[in-house]
Amino acid sequence: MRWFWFDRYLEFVSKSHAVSVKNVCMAEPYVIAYSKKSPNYPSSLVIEGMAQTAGLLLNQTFDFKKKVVLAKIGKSKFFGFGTPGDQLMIRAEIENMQEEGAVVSCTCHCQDRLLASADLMFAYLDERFQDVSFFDDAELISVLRNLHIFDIGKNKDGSPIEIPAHFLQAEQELIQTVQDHS
Amino acid sequence: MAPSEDEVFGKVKDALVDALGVDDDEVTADATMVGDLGAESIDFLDIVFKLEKSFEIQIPRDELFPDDILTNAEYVQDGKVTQTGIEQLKKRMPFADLSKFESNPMVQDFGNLLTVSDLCRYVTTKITA
Repeated sequence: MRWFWFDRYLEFVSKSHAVSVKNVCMAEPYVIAYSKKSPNYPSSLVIEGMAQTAGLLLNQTFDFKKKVVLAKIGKSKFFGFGTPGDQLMIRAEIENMQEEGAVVSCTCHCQDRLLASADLMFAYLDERFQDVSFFDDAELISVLRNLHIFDIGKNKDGSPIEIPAHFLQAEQELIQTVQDHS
Repeated sequence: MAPSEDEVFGKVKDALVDALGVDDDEVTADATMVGDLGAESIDFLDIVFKLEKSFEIQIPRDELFPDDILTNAEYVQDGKVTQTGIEQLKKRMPFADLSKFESNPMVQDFGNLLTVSDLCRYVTTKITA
């Protein structure tokens, strides 16, 4: 699994918005990569955290079956850096969802301080990319569980979001494989 | 009340400046989206989003970019849109000026057909519909 640039979701409302948290830590090599005298969390990774927070929010509406990619970073502004010990709150709000893609408006705050804002545009890859596999189902459900999507995720009517059947099946198959080899 | 031509142009210009990162003065009525303003396919999605929000309209993709005609063997021969294909395009894109394209209707040139005024005309038809 690729690196994840936030630690977990705090809020997740399907087809609407999500809030994730990223704890900035001195132990992360990129925090001191640019300046050992003044360690900070790079803005590029804030954007990446926004994209991941928003990308999963979008893909949940398709039971995580679509290939959602960050296509374009629209208007983005940076007002400051997160530093070790800071807790960054990333908010992603769906502005527009269409058949081919979506626009999500994102912000990153440290307490009440706005550090960054960006409009991100996502595209859904079409059938030309059907042979491209981004994630293995068993691996992805494990990550999604760790991000607490299914613990706190809700639909707009307040009902909990369901774990898609293909994920449960992938987990079962993984368990079976492990048992067969033990 | 329907917005004036200037108001429509102003909003379309804002959307294009935002989506394409071009300067205000580059967005003229005659500017082509691809050739002059450098729009790529992903930008059109962004432009559609921005126009929908700005004008509170819905823009079905096949209205603005009737790709299905350009990929239909019935309407394309040897890389050129046939006369029947042109008629279909005219029917589907009454807002676009196809006269120049008609003289040498190469499919590959179609992407560079749409101008800023075409976009304004299209938006106006949606607002007044």
